[in-house]
Amino acid sequence: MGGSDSKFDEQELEDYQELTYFTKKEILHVHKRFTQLAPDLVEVDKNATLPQDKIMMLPELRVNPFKDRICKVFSSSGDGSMSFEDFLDMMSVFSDNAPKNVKVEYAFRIYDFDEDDMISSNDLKEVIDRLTGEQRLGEEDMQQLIDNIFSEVDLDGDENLSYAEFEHVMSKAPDFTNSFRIRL
Amino acid sequence: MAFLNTAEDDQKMFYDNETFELEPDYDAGSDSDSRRSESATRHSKSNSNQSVIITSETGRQFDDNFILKARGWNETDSDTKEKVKKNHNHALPQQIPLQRIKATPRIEVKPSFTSITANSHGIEHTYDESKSKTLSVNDVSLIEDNDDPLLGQNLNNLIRRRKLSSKKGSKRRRPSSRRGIVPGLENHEFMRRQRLLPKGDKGSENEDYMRLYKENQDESTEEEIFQNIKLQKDIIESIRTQPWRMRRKLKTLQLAKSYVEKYEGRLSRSHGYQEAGAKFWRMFKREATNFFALFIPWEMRIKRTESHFGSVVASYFIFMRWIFGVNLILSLITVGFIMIPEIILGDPHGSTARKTVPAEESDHAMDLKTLWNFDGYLEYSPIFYGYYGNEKVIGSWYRLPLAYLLVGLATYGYSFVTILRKMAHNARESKLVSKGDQYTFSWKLYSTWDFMIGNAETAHNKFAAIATSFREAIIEEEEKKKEDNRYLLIFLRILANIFVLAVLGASAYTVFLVVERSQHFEQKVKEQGPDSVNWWEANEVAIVMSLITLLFPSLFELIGMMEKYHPRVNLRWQLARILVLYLLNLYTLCFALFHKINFLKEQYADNVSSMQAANLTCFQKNESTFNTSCAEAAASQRVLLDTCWETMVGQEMVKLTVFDLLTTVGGILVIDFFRGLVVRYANFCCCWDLERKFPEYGEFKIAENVLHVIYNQGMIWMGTFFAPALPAVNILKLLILFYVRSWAVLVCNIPHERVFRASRSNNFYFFLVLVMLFLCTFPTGYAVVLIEPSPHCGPFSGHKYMYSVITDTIQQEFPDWLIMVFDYASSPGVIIPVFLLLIMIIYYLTSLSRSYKEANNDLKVQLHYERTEEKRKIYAMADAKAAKLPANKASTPNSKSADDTKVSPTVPGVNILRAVSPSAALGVSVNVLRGVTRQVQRPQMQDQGQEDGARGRARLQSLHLNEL
Repeated sequence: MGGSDSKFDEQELEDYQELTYFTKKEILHVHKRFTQLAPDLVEVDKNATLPQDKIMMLPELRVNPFKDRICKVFSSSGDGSMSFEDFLDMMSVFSDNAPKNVKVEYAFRIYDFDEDDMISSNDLKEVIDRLTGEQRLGEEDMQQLIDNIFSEVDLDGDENLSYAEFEHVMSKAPDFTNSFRIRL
Repeated sequence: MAFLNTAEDDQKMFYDNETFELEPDYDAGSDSDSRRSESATRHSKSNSNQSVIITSETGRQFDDNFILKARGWNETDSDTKEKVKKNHNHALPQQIPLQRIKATPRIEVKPSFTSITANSHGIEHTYDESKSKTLSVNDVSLIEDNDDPLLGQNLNNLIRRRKLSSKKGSKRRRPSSRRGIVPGLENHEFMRRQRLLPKGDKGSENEDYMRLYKENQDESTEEEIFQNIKLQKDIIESIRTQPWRMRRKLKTLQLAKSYVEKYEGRLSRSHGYQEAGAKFWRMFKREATNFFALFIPWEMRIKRTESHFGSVVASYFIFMRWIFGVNLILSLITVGFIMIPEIILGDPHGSTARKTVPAEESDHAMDLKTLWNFDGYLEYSPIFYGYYGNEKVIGSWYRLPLAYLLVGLATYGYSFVTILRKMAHNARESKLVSKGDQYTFSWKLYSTWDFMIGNAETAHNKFAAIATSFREAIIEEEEKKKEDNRYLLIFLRILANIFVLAVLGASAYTVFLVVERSQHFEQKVKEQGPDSVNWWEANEVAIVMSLITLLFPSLFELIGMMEKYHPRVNLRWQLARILVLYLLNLYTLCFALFHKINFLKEQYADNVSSMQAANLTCFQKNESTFNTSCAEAAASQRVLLDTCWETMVGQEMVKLTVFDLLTTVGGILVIDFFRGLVVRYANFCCCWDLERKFPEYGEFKIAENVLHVIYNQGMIWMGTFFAPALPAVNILKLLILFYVRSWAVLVCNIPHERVFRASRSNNFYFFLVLVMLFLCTFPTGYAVVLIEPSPHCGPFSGHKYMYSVITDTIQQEFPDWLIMVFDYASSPGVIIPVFLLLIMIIYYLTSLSRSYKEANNDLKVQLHYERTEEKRKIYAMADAKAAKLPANKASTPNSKSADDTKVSPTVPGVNILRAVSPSAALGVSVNVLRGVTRQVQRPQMQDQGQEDGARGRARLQSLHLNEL
């Protein structure tokens, strides 16, 4: 396909609406944003796959400490590059209407840096480091923090957060759905 | 085998552009058999040189189907994997010659989707050989070693169906599967399995393509089709929530849809119509959402703010938008049911005394200054209560007084209902969070980053804030036990509260004082014209109240600083105090106004009596001696007649609203804008850093601002009854405020460092609104029920109390028996039992919720238990499985599926999941339990994955599949 006009036909829009949490207008808007990331590429092929650094040009991602993880998790090729459908997928997960469990699922993937389906203390460390930016925590504080987290959450005491534990905690988090969003 | 041939010939499937040439017509009913064989022949004839065309309507190719499962289940086979990859990546083979498929000795059957891409010979072969195993139809080379254990159950369906249609082969039928074909359940199982599959595994992705399927539908009974359709619909509904790639979802959806479309109509005609109706309704609903989405105002504006400042600031604007919506409805009610009928049907302006500007005032009635005070023409306009006539019926049937009262009730009722609905909605979203579930640190870690932030400066601040909050939390944790300097602190806090009380008292006194004074000024205006008082005197009440709302919160902030609370606690105190201040203000205002009303009434009573005396004397004298005192008396009588206290209250409220707007906008300009300008441009010529140290840029004080909106809304609720146009005025106000604020926040405010978490899901704001609304109903209720309405203005003049409109209507218009019913219903004989009943219900519900909580805890304990228990079992099983695996490969699929049935019942996961799922409502999410399995499989994988990862994974999967 890949006509030079960047509009979708009705059927596609219909399907996308069925599969995302967007209205028609929003889907088109998502595409507009996608186009803005790399107008030259998308103009040629509306389903073009944009490389990771282009995707990271999205303002919300640019400042996001987990930007590379996000790209990776949503990229269908696994290398961080995204097609429009990946992008739409991402925006849908980060949209206002996506239910909590979907968000939690993806959050888990994002925070699971080594992709072993467990959040280990190394993953935690990585998250803390990224969150604090330049003002890193000292070794002691870090350890203290990690210990606290495990003592709260790690039900089975294996020093790892499984998805079940993660979901259990996050499903109760009052702010999670609210902060795990990206502007359309 | 003949029956198999005919049956399966039809089963050949074409992924064609529009249709899946799956089967011959099904409608035929009784003669379907013959027709089927007919068409079967037709198909088999054409078979020889057919190719399967693999394109979807949108041009996406379905090549993946033909790789199907290979990757998912045979990761170990690196050879296969490679091929699959190759095939997957390389540009789609648009056509695969059917011969290739024909050569495939296996047919792939997936459970839960009972989907098959099949070829008759394939089935025949495998069926003959293994009695039960059928495997992938795909390119043979791709799947060489497919011992997928999932097949058993679908196969069962397949076989059973075949048997049903042929009425033979009962010997071949395997014992029916443990799980049967309950579609919903299967579906869930399927979904669960999807989730449980290792996610890094790309194979799992392809794996589902294989259920892009078709079933040998011509064989199924109607019921089965029906069940399948139900299943597909489940899929369509829940597909959105699946964490898959878009592409995969798309395909699944398309196939499910096409299946439903294809078979739905066939079930029965009425069902078809029903379905068409449902489809239309769905379309309509979607279009409607699309349409209404266009009308959600300021979405972009809010989003922009959100990306600059994060979601907390945006929550203020969203809240404001919500309030705006509420006001919109309120003003529609009041304008539509009171103002417009009165304007159209009521007496025209100027026809009666209450609708005419009195002669003494008419000179000034159009002056800006007069209008500014909502006097003059505005006072005698439909904006205020006094304008409305008390004729029982206007036009031919509209009972305005009744409507007026009912609209008053409706505005409150509507507000209550919306707030409660919103709160309930939010509460549902946030689920039951008990106190034991406070995961402070994890929440801090995993939900602090606001993904909305798209601004470098904000992000920078956020980093700093997060680091600080981590440190704070750690220190807090450490210092929980330590408490020093208690006495000083307690002293300081008591002192602070005394100060606060003093400030509150001062504000209440001031408000009361100004209202008292205003009485005097008004008198003066009435007697000497509007020029007799200056601007300050005329607007004193509104100005003072606005100033109080503007300045006192800062005072509280200063006082709060000496309390040395934790910032969060501090903020709560601050909010509570401000709310009390606002409420106190409104209440003092009301009391002062009521006081004034009483005063006026007394004066009126006095004057009436003195007037009568004066009149008498005037009349007794003859005309020539009609002196000035008589004229004065007449004038004062006129003044008193015109004094309409309801209008006065309304005026006060409208004035307050408008002044509040002015002070707020002024405040924004001065406190934020000019300060920002000074800081920005005077910085270079100043000896200290203006931006960092003293004046800084303004912060957006979200909590205070929210409270301000709530306070404003409180005024609206109080005033609407006396000034029906007030909600409309408020709409204007909110509009202006919204734009000014959103402009100011982007232009002159900096992102705040300290964050009060009051998110959209948080009910805190709404709770405050509810409290405000509740308290605001009292003054109005008091006025309606206990104060006598003014005798010469408004729709209720002439009645003893306002509410008597309703009782009169009931008494006069309703039939006798209904009156009896009402009488009886309002007697203590009914009210007391109803009251008791309500109390009992409340008691029942509270105990119910208590028992839910207990159940919740039990489940939590169970969760712990299951987790350890299950882990142990699965370890054991994995080992057993590992021993069997090589043997399985060699053995026939038949023995394997027997194995399948044998092992499955011992797998605890599923049964536990089922057992627990009914209690999902109790708050322990089943998700957690569901996740248990996923969690359990992991350690195992890690253990073994290190040494021989691929094998461990394969084993794990087979284990897993068995389980499901």
